[in-house]
Amino acid sequence: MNDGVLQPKLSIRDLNKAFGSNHVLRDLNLELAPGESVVVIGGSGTGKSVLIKCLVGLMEPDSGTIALDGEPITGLSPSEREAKMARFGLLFQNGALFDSLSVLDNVAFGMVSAQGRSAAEAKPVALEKLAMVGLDESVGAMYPAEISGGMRKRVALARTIATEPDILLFDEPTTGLDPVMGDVIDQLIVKCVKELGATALTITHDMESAKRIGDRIAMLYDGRIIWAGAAETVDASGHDHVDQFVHGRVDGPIAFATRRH
Amino acid sequence: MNPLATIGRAFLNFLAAVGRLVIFAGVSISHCVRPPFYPRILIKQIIEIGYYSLPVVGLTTLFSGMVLALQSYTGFARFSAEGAVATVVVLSITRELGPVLAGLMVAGRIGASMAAEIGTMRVTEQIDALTTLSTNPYKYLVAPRILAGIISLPFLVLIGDIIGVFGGYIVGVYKLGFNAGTYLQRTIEFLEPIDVISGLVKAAVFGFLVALMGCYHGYRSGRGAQGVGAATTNAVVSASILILVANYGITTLFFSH
Repeated sequence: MNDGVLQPKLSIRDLNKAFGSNHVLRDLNLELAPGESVVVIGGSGTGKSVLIKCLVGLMEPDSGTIALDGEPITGLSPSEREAKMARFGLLFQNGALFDSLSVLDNVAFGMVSAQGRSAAEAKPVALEKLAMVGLDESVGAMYPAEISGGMRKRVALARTIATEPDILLFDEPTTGLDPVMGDVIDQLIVKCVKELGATALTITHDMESAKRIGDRIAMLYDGRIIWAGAAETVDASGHDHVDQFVHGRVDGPIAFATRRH
Repeated sequence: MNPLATIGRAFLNFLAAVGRLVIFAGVSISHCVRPPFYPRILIKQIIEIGYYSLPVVGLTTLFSGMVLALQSYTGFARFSAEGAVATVVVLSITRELGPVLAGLMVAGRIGASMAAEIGTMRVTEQIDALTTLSTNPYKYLVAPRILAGIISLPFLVLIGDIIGVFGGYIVGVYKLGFNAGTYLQRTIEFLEPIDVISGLVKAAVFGFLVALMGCYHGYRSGRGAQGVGAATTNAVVSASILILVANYGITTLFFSH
């Protein structure tokens, strides 16, 4: 607590990131309260993935600060940064499972490599996490190439939560999945976030998914958060850009970017 | 367009590429000597580079030794120096052909495979996933491969040397009619430890170069299948050229006096 006000779990202030003349993030501000699930929506190429990459240290922002529990995590040395990163878990858009490892080794990877647990110690926890996402022990021996897209996403989710991070980040969790499997993944995400008591940030352009996952929704446009509000208010936000995006209209103030960052 | 500007730009790009490679090599080497280490991955890579490259290196050196015996015999016969065939074969194989041929074969087989594997991991965000799981990709992916290259190639070359000399022996004894004992005596008579050692030093350097170029181009692979394809080609071409350049440099160091 800070002066009677709850300190944000994750705080992003005046974040800027440009690639040459392409200014992707412009003084972006966003705060996540402890245990809150925030969904950032926005069109393709608006910098959602850049935001997540800045959060986990895969990209260095040009300016601005990112603070975890009030402590800045930008501008740290690689070893300090690595220690902070252990508190983050990221579910990649395409899973990013390691092809050369079995499903079980994928899920146990963070526990063995980052937390220094032995393989024998990590195995029962990995099996437990697989069970949490609805996969049984037999899947553990398979390789990522041998399982379906939906199962790969579940395995990736199990890997993300295996180290029990404080902050969970989800990059387009339902992309490439059929609506039923998308719903399943959304429900698993909500369940995992609640069970871990984690703070979650999801980026997506799937509005149904955003409404299912998020306590709060924020819209990223032109490098800034242009609107934020409770998930249930997004359909009637009264904001032209949000209305156009939520209802998928071609006509409106949004000019969609065509280049990938 | 100003041709001088084009040349200048190309030169600056070349310098930038060399700078990137030197930084990559420096960071990689620093991770080779700092814990944590990944012994299981190192052993897997030694098996991949050393054991699985044995057939291709063995066949290459066997036939090279055979051709060398045949060619040197027909050449030396012109001035009645056929007796030098065994010595020429063993010196050529241990000093030059063994390490260079093994290096080039491994560059084609392993350099390409490393670049494709790491490039695919880059494209599919597996390298980013390593970082988010608090695992340094240099330590986990690059360092074990570079160490495996440095360790495996000398053993591979030593075996290749023996097979290459044996190839010369087969041709010398069974085709050219040399006495087996005399051929073996001539093989050992003029062979000095420095001949073998220089070849093994070359092998270790070539192993480093092959692994470094495979990892570097894979790590910096562009997006999509085209990016991975280009990384694979660049890894093989650059490793092959660097092997030939380094071969000249090491030969000069050992034998220029």
